[in-house]
Amino acid sequence: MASRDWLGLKHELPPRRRLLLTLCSFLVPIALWCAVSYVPWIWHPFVQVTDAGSVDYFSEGMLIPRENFAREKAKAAAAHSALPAGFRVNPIFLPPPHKVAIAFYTAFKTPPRLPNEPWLHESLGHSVRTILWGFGISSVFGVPLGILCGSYRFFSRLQEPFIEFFRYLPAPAFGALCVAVLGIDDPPKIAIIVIGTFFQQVLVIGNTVRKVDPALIEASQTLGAKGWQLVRGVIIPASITEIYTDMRILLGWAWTYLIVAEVVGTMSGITFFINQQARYRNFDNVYAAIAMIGIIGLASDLFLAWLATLIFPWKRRRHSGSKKNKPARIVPATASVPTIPIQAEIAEPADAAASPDVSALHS
Amino acid sequence: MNALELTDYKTQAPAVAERFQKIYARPVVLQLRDLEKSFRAGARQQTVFQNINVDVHRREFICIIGPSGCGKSTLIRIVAGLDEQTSGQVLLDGNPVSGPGPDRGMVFQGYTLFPWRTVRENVMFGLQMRGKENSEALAEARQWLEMVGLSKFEHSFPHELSGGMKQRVAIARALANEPRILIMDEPFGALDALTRAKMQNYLLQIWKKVDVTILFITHDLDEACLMADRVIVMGANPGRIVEVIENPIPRPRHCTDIFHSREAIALKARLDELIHVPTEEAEEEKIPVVKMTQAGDEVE
Repeated sequence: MASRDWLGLKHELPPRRRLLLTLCSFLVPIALWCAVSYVPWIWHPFVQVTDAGSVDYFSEGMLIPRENFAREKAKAAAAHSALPAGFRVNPIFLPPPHKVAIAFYTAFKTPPRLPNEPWLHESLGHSVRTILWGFGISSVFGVPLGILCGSYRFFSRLQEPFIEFFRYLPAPAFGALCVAVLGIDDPPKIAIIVIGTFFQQVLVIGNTVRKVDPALIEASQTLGAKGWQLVRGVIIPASITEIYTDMRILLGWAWTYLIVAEVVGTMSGITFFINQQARYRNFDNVYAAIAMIGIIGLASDLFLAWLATLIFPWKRRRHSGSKKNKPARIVPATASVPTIPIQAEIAEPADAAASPDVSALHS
Repeated sequence: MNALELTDYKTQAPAVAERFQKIYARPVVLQLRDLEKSFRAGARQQTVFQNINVDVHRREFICIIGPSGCGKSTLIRIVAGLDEQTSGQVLLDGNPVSGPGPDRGMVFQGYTLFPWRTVRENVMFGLQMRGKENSEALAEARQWLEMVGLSKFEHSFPHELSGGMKQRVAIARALANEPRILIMDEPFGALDALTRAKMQNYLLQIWKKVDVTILFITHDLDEACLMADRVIVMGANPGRIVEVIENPIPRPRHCTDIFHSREAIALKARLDELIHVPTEEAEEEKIPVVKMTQAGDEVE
């Protein structure tokens, strides 16, 4: 009964079913794409001419809208002249999956058309470098500032209203300014990623830090922590896993700013590659490059998620382990409380006189 | 209504009087002087509690009970330094307290262990905050963990422990600071009955071995009878101390047999009477109950 329930709310799916659904989430869109590409009667709004026949403006390889082709063919048939021939195709901007797959491979092997143009892997490398610089610079300032804002009302009031205002200014709007100040090469691109990321980062991390359970802070205060100890010993470790998750999401945002950043000044990186290939009408290469961004993003995110289980051991789900520990071994109190000389250490001589038989009282 | 005279226990047992005389001969650790807490709710002043005067003696076990809204939690938060009183004083060993500090340990109902620290590191926290060497802190933490019987779990993380074990870690963590007074806010309220009984015994054992004064909030009358030297009964609207009762039940006590004696039953009856204010019950009585069973389905 329960195993048949695919749509249970908040219902944990068995692992095999989870894997199946994960695969489907990729396979369904690809299957749709295949259907549109390979099944001739789905969409395919053009006819690629194989034989011009008697139509004077047709030439071999030309793409003609279906209705035009049909009209010309009917005209030719009426005139009893040679019929044009062709087969239905999709527009050039929708290459079939296998062509993109091939492009995926050949894109790395094909030398650039002009000697001073970068190879695909060089373009990608350039983009990744730009992201890392931008995100790195933003984080160096954004994370500590976010933690300060989340921890102290003082910094929150001092910083956040302005940042709140600034984050509504679209980063690309600073493009021209960045070029004017920083030149046309990489620095303005990095600057745009920083502008796009930094302000969000401060606010998001500030909010995360504010969500730390106040009971934990109070508990640590009653244990003697104060001032900076509270931030370093409680607030940061209590929110670090959430901050890490925020950073993963923010890294995704940084990628969206990358494409804007790369058209500023001299076009560079993966955006340059995409634009160049689109200009040559190699749309299979365009799709391959876009997919590449997705793959790099997803792979880095999965890597970071995996890394989190290493650096935050307390977040690890130990299914078997926790079950083994679960049957709370509450030891019978009388038997298990071992005698230790703590009382002797603490007891003051002054008190011994005041209440000579404290222990006798309890026994 | 009751065959027993409720105040009977005070006079009937000279042994009890003698026991309390000894307690009162010990130095006073905590003094609450005319403590009052109020806050502004719109235009009018809302009093949480007022006129709180208590002397707590060294190694005394004090239970505070009272209906919800009597301000007992606010009271101990003020003692812990997590809240500020409107007027009056909290004196610890004669010195007024301001702000939280390691001399007043606190155990919360919600455990509040640090999830990123192992059991051992949790117990070490207070020692580290006070600037102890790591090796020294570790040795002391081990000793305390041994006392609460959790040596085997020193490397576990809190989420791997059961509720009772978590609370034992919390107690060890608070005691590791060697506080003058241990404040416990319904510490066993979230535990099931069986675990709670074990924890109560446990705490009594620990209290016997460690030089610490305990201020214990509960809403469970049995728990108060079992644990306390004196029970402070608070009333609501406004919060105040209704009565301070000396618990006549002799120690050692065990939860399974304390209610076999006359004085224990009398004490519980008295507490019951103080806690269950008749006006509240009258309110509850008025709730209309619609009959939703059919004839013949009645239960007794």
